[in-house]
This record gives sequence, C-alpha cells and structure tokens, in this order.
Amino acid sequence: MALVASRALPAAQPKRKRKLITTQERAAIVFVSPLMVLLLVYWIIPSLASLYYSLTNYSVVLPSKWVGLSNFGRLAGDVLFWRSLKNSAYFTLGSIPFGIAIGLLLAIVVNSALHARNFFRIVFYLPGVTSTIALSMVWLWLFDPHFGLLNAGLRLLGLPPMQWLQSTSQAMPSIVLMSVWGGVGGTMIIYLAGLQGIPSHLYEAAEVDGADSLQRFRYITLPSLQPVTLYVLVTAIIGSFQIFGPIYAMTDGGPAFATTTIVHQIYINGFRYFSMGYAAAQSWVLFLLLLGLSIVNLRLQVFGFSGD
Amino acid sequence: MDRLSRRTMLRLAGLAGVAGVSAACGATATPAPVATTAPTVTQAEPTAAPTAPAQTKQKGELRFIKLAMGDPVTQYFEKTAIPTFQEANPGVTVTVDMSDWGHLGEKLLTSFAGNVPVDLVETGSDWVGPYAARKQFMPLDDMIAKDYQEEIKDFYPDMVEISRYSGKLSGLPYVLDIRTMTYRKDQFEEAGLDPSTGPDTWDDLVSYASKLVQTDSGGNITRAGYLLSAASPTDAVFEYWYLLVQNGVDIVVPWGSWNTDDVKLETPEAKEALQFMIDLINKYKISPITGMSTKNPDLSALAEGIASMCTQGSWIVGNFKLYSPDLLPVLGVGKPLMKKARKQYACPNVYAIGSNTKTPELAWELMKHMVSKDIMTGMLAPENNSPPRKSIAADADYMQDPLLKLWQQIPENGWGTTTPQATEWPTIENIGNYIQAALRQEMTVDEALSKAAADTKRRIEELVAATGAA
Repeated sequence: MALVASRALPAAQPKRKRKLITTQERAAIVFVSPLMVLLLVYWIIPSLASLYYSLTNYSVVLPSKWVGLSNFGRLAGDVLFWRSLKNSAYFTLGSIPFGIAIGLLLAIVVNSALHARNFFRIVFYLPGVTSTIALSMVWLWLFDPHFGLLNAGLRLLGLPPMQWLQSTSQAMPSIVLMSVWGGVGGTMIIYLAGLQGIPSHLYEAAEVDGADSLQRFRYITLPSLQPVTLYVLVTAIIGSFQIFGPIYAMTDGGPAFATTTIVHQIYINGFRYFSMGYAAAQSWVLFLLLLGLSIVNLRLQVFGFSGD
Repeated sequence: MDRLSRRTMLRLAGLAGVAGVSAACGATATPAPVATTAPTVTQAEPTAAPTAPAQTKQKGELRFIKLAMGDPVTQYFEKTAIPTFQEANPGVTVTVDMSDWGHLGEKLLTSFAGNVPVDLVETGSDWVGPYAARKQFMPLDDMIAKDYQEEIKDFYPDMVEISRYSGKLSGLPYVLDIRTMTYRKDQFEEAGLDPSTGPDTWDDLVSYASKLVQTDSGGNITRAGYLLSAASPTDAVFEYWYLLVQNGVDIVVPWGSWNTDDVKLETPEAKEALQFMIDLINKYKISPITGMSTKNPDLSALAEGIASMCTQGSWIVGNFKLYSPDLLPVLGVGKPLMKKARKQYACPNVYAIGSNTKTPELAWELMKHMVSKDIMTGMLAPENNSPPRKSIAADADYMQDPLLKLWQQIPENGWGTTTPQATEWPTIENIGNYIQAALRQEMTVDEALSKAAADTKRRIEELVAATGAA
C-alpha cells in the first residue's frame, strides 16, 4: 500500500495510442487463417456459387443463362421432388425414434456392470465404422426375396416370404431397418458419454429418498441427457434428410420411386441430367428445410424442455 | 417468447453452418462404385497377334476413358492392345482411365468441365446423340473421308448409323450388345416343347412359358417360365422396351427425332405392350415380379436352372463355357419375338473422340487401332462378344461357334434397334420407375405411360433448349 502511495502518478499523462492489432491478436490471426482460407475456399465460396447457380440453368458443359427464381418455381410443380420430400420425411420419422430409443437402451446396457461390456461396446459400434456401400451389399443379400436370410427366417417361422426392397410398401421400411442397425452404435456411444457425465450423487440422493430405478431414469437420467438428446436429434435429422448411400447402392430410388429421397433427386438432376442449376435450387431448399428444423429443435430445447 | 441470447444465436449460426455444409455435401456426394451391366467374364480364346498399326510422326499423351472389362479382356487390353499402339508410335503415351457405366457420365462431365482432354472414350451408341448435340464429341466424317472409307464398309451400316447425329458421325462401334431369346433345351423337352426352336410370337411366349414355369407348394415360383425381371428400373424398362419395339413402336418414332410430338408412350401399341408385360406376371404368372436370383453369382439363371427362357446377349455362351460347360449342349438360342415387328436390342458400344482433345489426329489413330480387325477380335473373343465388323463375324475363330452366329443374324437381318437418340439413359431409367409402378398396380397402364411420356417430353425439351438439338 505504501509502495503504491509513494508512486506519484504523472499529472497529465498523454493517452497511449492502442495498436490496431496486438501481438496476441496477430498470432491468433496467423493460427486461424489457414482454417479460414479452407473455409472460404471449400465452404463459403462454393455455397455462394451454388446460390448463384440455383438462379441459372447451369449445366457445367454449356453456357449458363440467368433464369431468376424459375428453378425454385419449377420445384413447386415437380412431382418427384415432392415425392422425394415425402420419402425423406418418412425415412426421418421412421429411423430417428427407433435409432434414439435403441441407442439409449444399448448405452444403458453397456454402461451397467455388464460382463464383457467393452466387447459389446465394440460390437455395437462396428457397423458405424463400416463403409455404407459394404453394409448395403451385405443387406442386399439379406433382403434377397429368394435366398435372403430374412426370408429364410420367415419361412422357418411358417410366415410367407416378403419382397423387401422389391415392394413399394416395404422398400423404405427395409432401408430404415438397415440404417437403424448401422447407425445405432454411434448414438449409443454419444449417450454412453452422456450417461457417464451424470454425477453419481444425484442417484445416491434419489435412492436415499426412496426412488425406484424407473423413477431415477425418469427424473434424473432423462433430464440430464437432454442436451445429448438435442445433439443426437439435430444431427440425426440432418443426417437422415441426407440419406443417399444406401439408396444409391440398394434401390437407386426404386421401385417406382418408392425410395427416392431429396439428395438422390439432387444427384439425379445434377449428375445424370446435368441440370446443375436445378440441383443447386434443390440443395438450397434442403438447406433451408434443415435450418428450419434445427431452429425448431433449439427453440424447443431452450424454451420448452428447460421451462425457460 | 424471449429474445434469443447471444450464446443461442451463436449456436444457431453454428447449426446453420453445419446444415449448410451438410446440404452442400449431400448435393455433391460421390457415390461408390456399383456393378455394371458389362458382360460376364468368360473363357479366353487365343487370338492372332495383331498387325502393327500405322506409325504417326506426332508425339504426345492420350487419355483413353475405357469401360471396365472382365479379366481376360483387361489382360489383352493392357498387354497387347495399348502396347502395340505405343510401340508403333514412339513418343505417344496412352493413359487409360477406367470407368464403369454408373460413373461414365460423371467422368465425362468433370472432364469437360475441367477441360481435361477426352482423347478417346468408350460409351454406348445411345449416348452419342446428346453428347454430340452438346458438341462434346467430335464429328469423324472428315477423318473417315481421308483414310477410312474402305475400312468402314466392313461394319454393319445400321450399327454405324446409330452414332450419327445431325448428319455427322461421332462414334465407331467396337462391340455389339445384341440380345435375343435364349432357353434350356432340356427343359423344353421335359415340357413337351420342340427344343430346336424358341417361341416365335407373344402368344408362343405365353404358351411355352406357362408349360415351363414351376412353383412350390406355397405357389411361389421356383423356376420362371420366362425370366422377366422388373427388380430395378433398368431391368423393368429393358423388358418393356423389348415388347414395345416388337409391337411396332418405340419411345420416340422416328428413332432420330427430337420432336416431343413424336414421343409414342401413350399410343395403343405402347399400352398394349405394357398390359402384356403386366399379364405375364400377374395373369399368366410365368415369372415373379422380383425376377430370380442365382445362388451362385457366377452362373446365369438359365445355367442354374431357375429360368427356362430369358433374353440375353451372346456373353451367356461365354458364361456357359466358363462356368457350366457341361450344360452348353442344352443352351438354345432363338429369334427375337414377333408381334408387329421382329425386333430386339442391338446397341453398339462405340469409341468417340472428345471435342476437347488437343491431338485429334493422334486420337483418331488410336481409335482406328482399337477398331482394327485384329485388336477388335482380341478384345471380343475372350467374352464371346458380338462384333460390329462383318469380317470378324465371318472369319474369327471364336465366331465359328454356331451359337454365336445366331446373334449375328439380328444385325444381318435388320432386326436390331436401340433406344431413341433423344432419350438419354437417365430418361429411360425414369420410364422404368413408371413401368415398375404399373407392374405393381400402383398406377394404371394409362396413368403410368402418361406420366412417363410427360417426363420424357420434358427431358427432351430441356435438352433441346440447352443444346439447340434438332
């Protein structure tokens, strides 16, 4: 204190000019700039370019003409686009609830004092690290109406064989089945991390209060996993609206357009018909749709679940 | 509702970014390779050593986009076809870029977009029209007039003319995909049918197939009388198209028209063909809608005995020779069916030169080398494929097989035709989806063909608008 008091402050010290960029800031820019350049080149510029192309009849190999909003107008009357939207929504609604429920269930199982739980964690996660195309090839055989394992099982049970991917009513549920099986391991891992982050004293306190296991799950586990569920839900919606690999490899959108999805239609228009402008317009509609769904999810979380 | 906090805004922005990137990725995702419709790998047959091609003085590098081949053909291609050209042309390097049918369009698209030379490309002759209309393939007429006038007379004229767009030839055929009725003679005998000939008409097809089809106790078809696969849009549209041309029409008539008024999918003949196809499955029950899968993927449905008749190319002979030679004597080959016309698919794979080539003369030399009699024979013999050159059909050792000659009668008798010039393959696949819908009774015949016609007209209109094709 004496030391401070002994130091006389200059009566009228001139204001020190602040440097435009400090050394620290300069260092930050140097470290961040490679990533920013990559983002600019591979994300921002292509995204803006695709927005521009969506307003043209760009077909890569021919000179493009400005067509304004006509690509978006054409979408309104494109029966296949609406069919693909419906199919994508069907896939999303079919796969996400099952994927989340089974993923959570598996996470709880492998989080318990199960014997050889590491083995099961690996086994359940394995499909998630396998190539989509490899999985699709295997499932093509499983779904084969004549020699497939699934129909062999049905016959053993005395049930009639199913057409699976060959039926317009069964093709999308078949792809949902395969996708849930393939994706549930990833969901399980995320939930497992969430479960391990719940403080154990909450369970101990609930036990002292006489809560049974169902009540502990209902009032401690589920609310604690709410941010994890939000993350899983948002990424699952984005992922499922973008389903493409299994569709391309297993059905190519058939039979009779029963499995064509938005991204499949984008691919068909862009890379088979060379209608890149129209495909870009479809991509932007998909982007806006996903953005909207993500916002709704967040609002639900922020103002709904948390009771804000 | 509360205002969004800064943190929430940041999270939203992050999500928007993720969604944007994801949407963009989805739009440009590159699919993994899929199986092609390329002929099955079959027994190799020794061929004569090729004569050296004419030497050029030019030097440079040629990029050759080649469709995937079976192992024996690949071996000949890599060890003989390309090296002999390079040896005869010192200083010329040929870089081979392999593709499959599923990715050929993408490869060409990116090549032209990036101006990576397409010096030579193998494609289907039914691809040539739209590519020529976009000015992506070079006309060959001047080069043919210069030094190929005599040689081109050895090709079946119809199979050459398929690659002519707007009066200019843009491709030379190297192999013919010819299809006709094939059947099992032993099963014909068992069913009391004459094994020396296949069905001749649609009525015959129904009558024969009804006698040949077998079912289990549950009524499930265990042996198709005629294998009519509608499992994929491609399979479905092929089977429909066979019936369509046999009934005297086509998707577009005349074949080379780009006028949408000439789309004939709503004609009575087109409806009759589709109704007949539906009847084969639902009324006569001669084939399951799912087709028949073989337990052994190397075997054809005929070889495995799960189908008595099916439409096939000559590669099935090679397949029998390789995987089930003991059954070769019971393989029967018939004529295309007759309703109003005796017609079947005969579509050449062609070589074309990309308009962005920097060395057109060298590219032309490579094309001539690849369609020369020796090289073509070496490429076609291992898989027993049908040649587009009359002299190979007459003289080549492998073509002395009487079974293979039965396929050649199709171009020789003018029975061959292919899908119209104005309908690109994706457009035809799209029709296949409507055929599938009608077969599954989700749409009526009229509705399916009306929608297919509308889509086809729109695609042709777009192509015409973009290219000025006529």
